[in-house]
Amino acid sequence: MTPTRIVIALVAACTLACGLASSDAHADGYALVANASGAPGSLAKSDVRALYTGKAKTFANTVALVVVRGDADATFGQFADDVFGISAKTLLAKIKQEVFKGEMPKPVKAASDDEVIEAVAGTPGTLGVVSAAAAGHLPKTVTVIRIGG
Amino acid sequence: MKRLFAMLLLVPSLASADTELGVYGDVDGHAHTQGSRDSTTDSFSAASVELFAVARQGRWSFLSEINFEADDTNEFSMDVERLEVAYVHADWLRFVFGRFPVAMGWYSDAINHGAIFQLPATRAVMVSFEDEGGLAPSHSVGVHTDGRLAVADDHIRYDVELGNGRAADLDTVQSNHDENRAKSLNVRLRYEPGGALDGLLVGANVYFDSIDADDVSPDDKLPASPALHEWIYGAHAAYLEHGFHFVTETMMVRHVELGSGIVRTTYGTFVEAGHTFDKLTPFARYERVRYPAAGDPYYQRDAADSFDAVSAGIRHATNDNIALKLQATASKAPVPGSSVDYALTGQIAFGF
Repeated sequence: MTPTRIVIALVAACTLACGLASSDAHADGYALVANASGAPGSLAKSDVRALYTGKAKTFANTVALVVVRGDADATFGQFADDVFGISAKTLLAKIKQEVFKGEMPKPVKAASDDEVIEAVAGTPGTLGVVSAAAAGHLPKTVTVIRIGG
Repeated sequence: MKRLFAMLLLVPSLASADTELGVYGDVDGHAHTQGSRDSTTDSFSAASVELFAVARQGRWSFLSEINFEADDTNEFSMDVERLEVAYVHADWLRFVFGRFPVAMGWYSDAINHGAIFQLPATRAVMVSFEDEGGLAPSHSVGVHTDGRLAVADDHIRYDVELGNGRAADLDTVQSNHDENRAKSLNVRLRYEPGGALDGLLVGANVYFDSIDADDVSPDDKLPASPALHEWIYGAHAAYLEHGFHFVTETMMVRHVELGSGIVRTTYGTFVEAGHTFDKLTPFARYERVRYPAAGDPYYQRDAADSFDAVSAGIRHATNDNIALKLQATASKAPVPGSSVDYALTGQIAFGF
């Protein structure tokens, strides 16, 4: 292998590794998961924000439904801070208001990773947030959605 | 009334296990004065409680908001504020059938009752409900469609509504039938930029309706309202992200009398801003309404009813279900000799 090829291979490897690291939600301590039926592999942050606040009404060709966790839940708090730049409590208040406006369905409430996974697995179009550890062993009906910039 | 209330509480469990019920409302204390003992009034008020129900089945959903409200006679009456059956086809097409808040400006459909979601204790007068002095209709009965379309990183949202429109009596929402065949048409377009401006909304409205003549003048201040065409043009902007609350709306209402062709134009505008610091959100608002000098028989208001008002207050998000608010307002009519009217409102808003 020539030095040029070695450099190109190293650059390509670094680019791939950096790309995966920056877009893979696992690295952030949480993962956005969705029912695998028709779900895309990744979503932009703005798309995730739109789905969690009723601006976007469909996901995977059906009505979007989100799973929320408590305002003291560390995983959900990290998701709210990273994607919305607000606390989980403020995000939950926003969602409550959008439900009252009729802009989105009432979210499913879950208290643990297992409950989120169960809710997401049962209904196409459903999204939720689980810990990075839980994202490592999901059933086939649930997939991780990478969050882009 | 008690039997009806009990029936409403039972309906969700009978109809579907997926139906969710909520209870919203507020209790208030008000004081008004123009600086003299004779001009001072004060009251406590527990005049509004709302039952809110939502349910969903696939692409169909149901929403109802039933308000038990005490009026000027101190008697409670029931008002179905919203009764919506919606079908989502795609992000770019949703239908809502029934009685819904008019998609006009920001306040009308963003804050439809549910005082806990509203930053100030009271709404700007121009966006108050139709039976509380608002300039525009706040509810419509008919068909609403909306959708959101991506344009590069930005989005365009549209709302189009065809409804029964307004009745000859300004306070009446034509929930059962339309007094005339002409339907109201409302179109709203919004631009939602992406990137650094994500969260900003900028929009505009056009509304048209044909309204029958009223037979009587409510208080003989002005003649009874003739048959007219109503045109409402409006623009609005809102940003409610990262702790900021900024809403501004402006509206021009033209009432064109059929036959005589006389045009009466009313203008309204307000700007409202606040910022959240932990549980506290201080806010301020300026509003301005100008009725035509010769008066508008449909509103039964003239230049003496025009006003400028400044409000300031604070909201405390006590917990997930309770918000405490305190608001002071000073308003004055732009006519010689008019006094400044001071108002103080305290409110406990709840949602369970």
